[in-house]
Amino acid sequence: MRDAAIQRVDIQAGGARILFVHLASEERAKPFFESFGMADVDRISDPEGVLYEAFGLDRAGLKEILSPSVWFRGVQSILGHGLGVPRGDTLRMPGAFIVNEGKVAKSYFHQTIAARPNMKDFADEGVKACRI
Amino acid sequence: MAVPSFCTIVTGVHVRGSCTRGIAHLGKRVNIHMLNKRRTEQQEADLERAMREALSQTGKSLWDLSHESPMLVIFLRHFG
Repeated sequence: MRDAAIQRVDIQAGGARILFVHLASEERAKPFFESFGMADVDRISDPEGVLYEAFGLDRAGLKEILSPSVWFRGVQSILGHGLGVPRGDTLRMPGAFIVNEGKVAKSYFHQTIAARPNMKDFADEGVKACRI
Repeated sequence: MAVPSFCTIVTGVHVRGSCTRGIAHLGKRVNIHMLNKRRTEQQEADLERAMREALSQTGKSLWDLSHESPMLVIFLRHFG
């Protein structure tokens, strides 16, 4: 979320419009997005994970949880943001997609929950693929 | 009753009556391809329905938004 917030202007300048899908209720999501200065960005509340499932984002298995990089990233996150009570399905895998005219033009499936893809590069490549 | 075959195991799709030869289907790549294709079409239909029904906080569907401009759709993990 923080990575996308930092790259937001560049991503939008490249031609992609950002939309977040999250597992919390809209009521809980609003202050969260506001805290990142992303209150005006499109977001969809998907507590049941229907969209996650439709895009092929499964729940994490042992491989995705036990990786050392996941634990390292967890510690990093706690040090950076503090320890909070998780809201939503904690095992649901994240992901990123470029969707154009109802079709998925580009996909990114996290190998572990610790992966941090460069959203600007991903968006640029996806938009380019849409224009070919 | 159909015996679970290589096709079924690989694709996760069970097509009643089509896979009764068990391990003998190991070489039937065409069958596997057809089963995969069928599954993909179903997934595509589910995806389209999900995109039409999913509404943003402003009331627009992902389907409609994606027809306005390319969308970078980021699926988050849990909050907290």
